[in-house]
Amino acid sequence: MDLLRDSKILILLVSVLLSLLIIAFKGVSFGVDLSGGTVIVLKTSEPVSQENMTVIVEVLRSRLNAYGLSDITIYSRGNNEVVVEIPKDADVERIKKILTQQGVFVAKIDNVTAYTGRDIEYVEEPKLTPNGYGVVLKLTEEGARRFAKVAYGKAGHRVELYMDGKLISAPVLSPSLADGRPHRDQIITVAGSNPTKEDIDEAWAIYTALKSGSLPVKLEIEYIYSISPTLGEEFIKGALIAGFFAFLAVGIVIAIRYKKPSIVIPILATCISEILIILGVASLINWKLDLPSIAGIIASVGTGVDDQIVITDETLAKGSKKIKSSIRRAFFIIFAAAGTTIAAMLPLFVMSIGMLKGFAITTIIGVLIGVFITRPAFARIIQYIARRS
Amino acid sequence: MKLDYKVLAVIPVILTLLSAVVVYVNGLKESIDVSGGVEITVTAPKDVDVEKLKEYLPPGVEVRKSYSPSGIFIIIRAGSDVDSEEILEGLKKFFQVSSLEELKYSQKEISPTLSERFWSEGLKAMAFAFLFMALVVYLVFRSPVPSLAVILAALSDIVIALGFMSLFGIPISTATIAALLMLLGYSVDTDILLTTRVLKRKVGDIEERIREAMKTGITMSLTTIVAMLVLYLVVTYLVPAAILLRDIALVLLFGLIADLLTTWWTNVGILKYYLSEWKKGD
Repeated sequence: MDLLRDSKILILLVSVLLSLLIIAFKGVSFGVDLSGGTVIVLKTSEPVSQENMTVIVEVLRSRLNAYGLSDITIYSRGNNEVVVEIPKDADVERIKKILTQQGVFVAKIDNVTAYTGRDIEYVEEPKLTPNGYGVVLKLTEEGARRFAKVAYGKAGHRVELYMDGKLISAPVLSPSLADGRPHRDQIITVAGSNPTKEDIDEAWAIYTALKSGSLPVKLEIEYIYSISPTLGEEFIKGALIAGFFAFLAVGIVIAIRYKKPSIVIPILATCISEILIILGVASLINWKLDLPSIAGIIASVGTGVDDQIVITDETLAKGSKKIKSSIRRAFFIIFAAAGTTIAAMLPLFVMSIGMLKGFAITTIIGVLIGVFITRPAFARIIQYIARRS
Repeated sequence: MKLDYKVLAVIPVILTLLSAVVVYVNGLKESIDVSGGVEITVTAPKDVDVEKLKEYLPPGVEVRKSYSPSGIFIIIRAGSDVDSEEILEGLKKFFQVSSLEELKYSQKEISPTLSERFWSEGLKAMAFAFLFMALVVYLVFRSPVPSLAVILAALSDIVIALGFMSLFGIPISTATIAALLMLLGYSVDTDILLTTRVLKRKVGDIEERIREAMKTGITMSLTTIVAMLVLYLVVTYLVPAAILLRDIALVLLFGLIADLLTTWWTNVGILKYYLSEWKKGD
């Protein structure tokens, strides 16, 4: 059959096979909004340099690691946004505190700095100590010496502990610590022996901040999306069911209009191969499928079906004697339509609202695959059918 | 007796103006993407009394309930002034669970700074999308009147879709903006088909070309309309978790039905007028 020797059809077949191969081996990964987990977008108080962005990402990563979350993704977006993805159920309120704490820590006695976050060598996880609930820490030798000097003879004075300018605790200096000798062990208490959830969140925020160091700028939470894995699963299932039935419905409309299986089957088969290639490309470039990309796939498959109807009608219409010029006219419509779609999606790239960016990218990828791979192949099939009838 | 094509062409224009009035008077519902705040969805293990639940939550919180075969969904919305932690604690107490994971929950929180940007940037993106689309349409046809007809039809579709959103309380959100952009794409597709067929095809007279184009164009629209109808039904009755997809489906459904009128009445009318009267004047 000479149809199978046609280059356009071969390109389509090879693309579909490659996509199947990639999907089979690499799989398609879902975004946190579908697989369950939490996405947090943080905004820096001012635009920061690339180096500082790297520092921020590293500090946040070590904070979340210190909190016990390891399987996380953190990346910067532009010069003022950091995206944190946590792929499992987590305490969102606590994580919010941990991430936004700038982490500049100072201990003062009578307004003289005794030690800072930099003088801390080692911190222990929050726990109940004899003095109350809090964080146990160990100063460096130099830090301990400085503390000894400032604290000397100040027994009964308060040690004021500030985190980001906020007084978090002010214990009374005991005579044993004011003897002028270095004492490396210190405790920051945030509550008595009966801490509330908020106290515990606070203690964890202090702990992770001391452990990871301070951030070069202040961060503010801009966007949070959190979904439990079971709900995410239901969502994927729902989208698949909806997609299947929508496909069936489209098939019925096409079948009623064209009746001949030799037209209906190629339209639907091209449609399926287009979805496969989009998924293949997504898998290849490690694109995580999230809600906006599913909308993008719907958009591009929708235009795909539309274009195939255009090709079919142009070629098989009464009076169109020259198949070549019919196909040319069909592709004029298709390229014009694709051009307008891509033009309409371009402004979304400049927008900093990330969600619509994912939608724009998948739509454009889908449209390009359609215009350059699936539609030319479909046109060949229809040409073949037109010649035979 | 067939109505004059000029009368038919004006009907969608009137619909567009009416929609604009509806949007202006009735306003558009804002999702938290736009207004900022927090939205929490949980699945209730059994039917609950919304008023009772409200007693456990901080004031100023909106609670809705929706039924589905897979369970009862409780949707809670609050502005940025409400502490989301208080809502979560209240929910845990009310449902007597130690972790909300037991309730299959989802939470979305948008800061006021982001929602402000959503308006300014979202509108800008929409405006530029429209402008770029118009530019490509003009480059394709290089003829002002047919290009303007396509652009007018697309604008009408979007305004009518916005009118429906206002009437049925579909909120403006990231998802519905995506839907409006998809509508822009689909709407222009049928208009380009029509214009190309009428201006570039040599076979038959205008009426015949329009009839042929209509056959193709309506099939195109029908496939998408049917697909969106199915998407809407499946999401509403089977998996309400996917409520975002439902909004997208509804906006496209309304918009595409409007597109049938704007393409085959208004755009056709303008093309007929252009070919039979405008061009004769040259």
